[in-house]
Amino acid sequence: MRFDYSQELEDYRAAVRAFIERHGPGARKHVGVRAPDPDQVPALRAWVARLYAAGYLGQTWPAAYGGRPGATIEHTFIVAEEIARARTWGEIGAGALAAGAVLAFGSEAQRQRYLPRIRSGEDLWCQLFSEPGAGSDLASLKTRAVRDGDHFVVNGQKVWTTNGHHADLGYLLARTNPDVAKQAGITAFALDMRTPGVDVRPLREITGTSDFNEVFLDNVRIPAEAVIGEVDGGWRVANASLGHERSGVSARAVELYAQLDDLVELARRTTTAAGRPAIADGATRQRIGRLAALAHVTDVMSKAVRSRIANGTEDAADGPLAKVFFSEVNLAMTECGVALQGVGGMAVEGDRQAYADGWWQDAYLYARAYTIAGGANEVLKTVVAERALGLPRDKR
Amino acid sequence: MTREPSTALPVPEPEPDADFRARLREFLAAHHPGKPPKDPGQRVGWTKAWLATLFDHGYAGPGWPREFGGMELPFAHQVIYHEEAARARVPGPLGTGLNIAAPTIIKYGTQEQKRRWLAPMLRGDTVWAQGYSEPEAGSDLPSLRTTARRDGDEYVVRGQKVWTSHAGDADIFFALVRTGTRDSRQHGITYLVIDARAPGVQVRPLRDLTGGQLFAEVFFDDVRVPVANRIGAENGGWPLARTSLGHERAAGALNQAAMYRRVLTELESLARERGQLADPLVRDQFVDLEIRVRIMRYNAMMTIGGILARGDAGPTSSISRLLVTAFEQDLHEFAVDLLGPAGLLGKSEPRAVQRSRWLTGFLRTRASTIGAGTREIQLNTVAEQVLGLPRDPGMPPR
Amino acid sequence: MTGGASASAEHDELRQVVRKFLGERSPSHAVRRLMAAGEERDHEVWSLLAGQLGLTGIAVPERFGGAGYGPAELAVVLEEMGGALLVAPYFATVALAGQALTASADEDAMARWLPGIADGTLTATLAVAEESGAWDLAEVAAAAEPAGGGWAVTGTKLFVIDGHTAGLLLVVARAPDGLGVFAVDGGAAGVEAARLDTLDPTRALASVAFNGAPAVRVGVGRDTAAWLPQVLDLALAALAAEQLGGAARCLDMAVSYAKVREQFGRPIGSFQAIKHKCANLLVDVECGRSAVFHASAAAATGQPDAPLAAVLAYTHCSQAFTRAAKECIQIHGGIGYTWEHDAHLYLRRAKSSQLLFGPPARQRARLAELAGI
Repeated sequence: MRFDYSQELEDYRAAVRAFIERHGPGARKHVGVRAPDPDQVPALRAWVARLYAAGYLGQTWPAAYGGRPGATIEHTFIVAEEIARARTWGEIGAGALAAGAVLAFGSEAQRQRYLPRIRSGEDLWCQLFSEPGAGSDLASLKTRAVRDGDHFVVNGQKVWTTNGHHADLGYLLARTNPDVAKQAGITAFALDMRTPGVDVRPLREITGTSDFNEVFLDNVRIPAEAVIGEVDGGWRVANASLGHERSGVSARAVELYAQLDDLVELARRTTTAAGRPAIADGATRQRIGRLAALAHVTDVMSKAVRSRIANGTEDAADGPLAKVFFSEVNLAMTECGVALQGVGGMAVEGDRQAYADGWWQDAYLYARAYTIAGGANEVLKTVVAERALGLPRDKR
Repeated sequence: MTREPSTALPVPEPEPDADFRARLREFLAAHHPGKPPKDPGQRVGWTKAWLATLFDHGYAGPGWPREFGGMELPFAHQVIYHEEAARARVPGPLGTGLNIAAPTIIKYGTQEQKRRWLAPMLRGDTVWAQGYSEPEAGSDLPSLRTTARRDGDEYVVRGQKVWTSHAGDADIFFALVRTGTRDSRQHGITYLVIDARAPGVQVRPLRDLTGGQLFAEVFFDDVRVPVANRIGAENGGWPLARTSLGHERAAGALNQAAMYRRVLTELESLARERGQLADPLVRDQFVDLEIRVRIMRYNAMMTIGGILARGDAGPTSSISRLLVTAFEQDLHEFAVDLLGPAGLLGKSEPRAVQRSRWLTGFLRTRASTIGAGTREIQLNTVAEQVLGLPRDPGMPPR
Repeated sequence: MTGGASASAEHDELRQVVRKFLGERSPSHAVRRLMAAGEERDHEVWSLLAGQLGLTGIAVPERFGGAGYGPAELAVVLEEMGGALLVAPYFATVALAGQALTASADEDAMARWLPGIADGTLTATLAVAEESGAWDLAEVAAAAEPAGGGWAVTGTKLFVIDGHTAGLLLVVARAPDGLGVFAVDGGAAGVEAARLDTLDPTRALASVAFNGAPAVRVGVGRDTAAWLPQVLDLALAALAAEQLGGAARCLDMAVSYAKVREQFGRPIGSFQAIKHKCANLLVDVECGRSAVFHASAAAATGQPDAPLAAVLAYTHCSQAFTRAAKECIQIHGGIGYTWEHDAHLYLRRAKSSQLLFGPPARQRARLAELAGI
């Protein structure tokens, strides 16, 4: 297992970093998987196109569809890490996820149709998986797709759709067969978000921002050629594409390190009762030290996972374990950030008393999302226990 | 709301009868048995002698009926009794009979059984030990397998119990045995009182992780037990297993809080002597324990207040054990951490700090969250019985 | 109701009355309406709360128009208000200013302002914290100078609860002879107040700048050090009660949801991962109840351990409430992360309450001192 990168990869990192510095859209206002403001979207489409054109996104695709010969998964990790380090935007929406599905399961016509428009930034995708009654238990989804000639008619509701209001296309899971085991009756679709009957309504989250949407589907007609993979084969498609999207693994550690630097800076600027900077206080030092150790563990853990992915020896529990660990360290870190500010920790974005324009307060609230989204930690821990430790399966 | 919060107002210091307290204090001082002997065998004799002293002077069994040698005190006086006993540091009961078997006998025993068993138990003449857990029936007690076959006016008991404390000193075992079919679970369990010296009873000490031998395995090899030793009906033993007498446990919680108050203060003195209290991190950990030990007492008083005001212990009583067990584990581990490498020294080392009590405690308290219902099972019980959360379909009905 | 006595039946009755009232008058949508409009209270609710229920006068002595109860009954009321996230200047007016005036034992000051607090016509607050945000008397820099038979106050107070709407501001400031409490009319010349944008939109905090504002000294002839620290402890105990109410409500919401939300074909509350979370929260809440009870009873009867009990209750309830609010979101999953669900309002209130009087580490350090550690 290698934790360090070769000189070639380090050179590559330097090039990516320079590229982001030169062309990047600047630092983001909030941490996490968030939707851009509408007026930012045109510039971000251009940025995405630029990343694809430069070979920084989609580089491991087959060359025929624009992939970069010689690219490895390690290159994609480096790009994700550098984007996280710069706290800037990467690909917005679920384009990479959809591309993975189309490449693995789609028809040639679908590849020709969807991939170039992902690369050009013309099509932003959103992911239409979760439902109000199907969160942790995704396979219980109820949105129905009924065959009607050369179309499917879809009815139901999706939720937690990031960028739903910006998206041109939706990567949709719907139930086509209610009479078989719950995983066996699901089909994946590419849905044109402008189809009549698609109603996107913004959700407002506890952060006060609207990064997610509810999507209502009312007699939405989807042509049969938009089925990705086989009818009733959608569970496999979804699992494969979710498993394929792993570039975020090492970016998380970078995020934590950046946040740790901020925390140290914050502790330098905050004074304690004794009039000393908080960083000189033993208890604060120990608390930050503990967080630094945890960030380091996250880093080592994600590097190990990264290396296993590169070697093809990835364990099924790797992803869940890394996510649970990261989200808990992140929680502890944001709590420390708010606590260090004492009563000043109450002032939020927009208030002139607020430190760093309320970055920590937003991160503190958003940290809750990390322990729920992408599989609630309680469920992921069960997955880890079963897959990594071989404990008997719970009745689910 | 899932439940009504208790707003009963306990008197901050329950002291409805200062005379009683004074009388008790005087008695305890006058008859105090002194420091416990180091030798475990002598300690048993020492405890028995003390129990006899209490009994003979009418100071045993604060909550028990007078008829069987108890004091039949009102609850408020029981609280005082326990406080004073904790304060005087006199020996507690020997074996688990007084706390667990006696309430069952008092509530469900026949008059003849009460006469036969209660007074000698209270006086310390007979030591009782519990036979509930089995190797294959721990958290899932209804799956126990020790059988009792009816043969005339006797039962023939066969099987194995484990984790029995005081088994070596015991004169009597109170046990749960299966009289129903193999899969009858809690509906086929009977409560039997078994003479420890009956042929076929064998006790094998278990060495636990502290290196000590507090617990034993007890084997029953066709042990004959008179039917007259059955408490309650055949196959009706399950509901009897957890009988408590009035609110003795609530008073016990206060006693425990007082005991840990003392232990924490002792640890604090130790840290002070060693010059460690100036360290803000050490202080902060003490603050945490200080909050918890005080809350344990507040909780006990809250429970007692609820009982005094309306005869209802309220939800605080069901959480007290969760609190105490976590506390004693954290306290001892913190103590060992404080001592650093010196905390690792065993009893026989001259450099061992306070005869290694904190290290022993660290090991011993691992059992706190396992014995008498694991922490996990207790959390389930609280979640289901207090909060009304649905049962896990994989678990037996309670 | 008659003052002084404290029997459980009376507390229960009081609790039921307040709970029923808040259930009808301060349901979630009402809280949200006030919050969105940035209003400090619903005037109709306030006048009912003050007039019909007499809650503003609960801790005011009878001779000044109150009910003559003390911290224990106030704790019951605050617990319910915390559960409902009532948007109103109740905590500032009654728990802070009202108790401060009573503790000052200043007959003139009490006669002048307590009747208004008791009947709800006067809202008030106590301004202690400055730049550091800590309620630490040693850090007070605001100054009071004698001026024309009265006093003039100069300085800036931060995180003043309801400071921009209060009719009366009790300001802790340094006079030439030492620390004092000075009463300033909220509308007086030389007072500039602005609401701060903070994490908790259900409780208004303001910065208040005093520039030679005319003031009346409170507690004349008494050493401020003899009674002001006691007021701060009363504030801690009161806030702990409010936090307890919030924590209990979070647990309640989580339990109700866990009973009905199904995933994997069964209620999520039947999974031990959820069950144990809830049971652990119950432990926190019940401990909080005992701690709050003890703190308010100790304050009411003037027990020597009252300061320690107050810090202890506040420290425990701060943790209990934030933990309950976080777990409440977690148990609700995605829906708990939405703005529309109330869970985040409790998290906001919980975190703000935990920091309201300064960094938690300071409270813990004080507890160590009081406990003789």
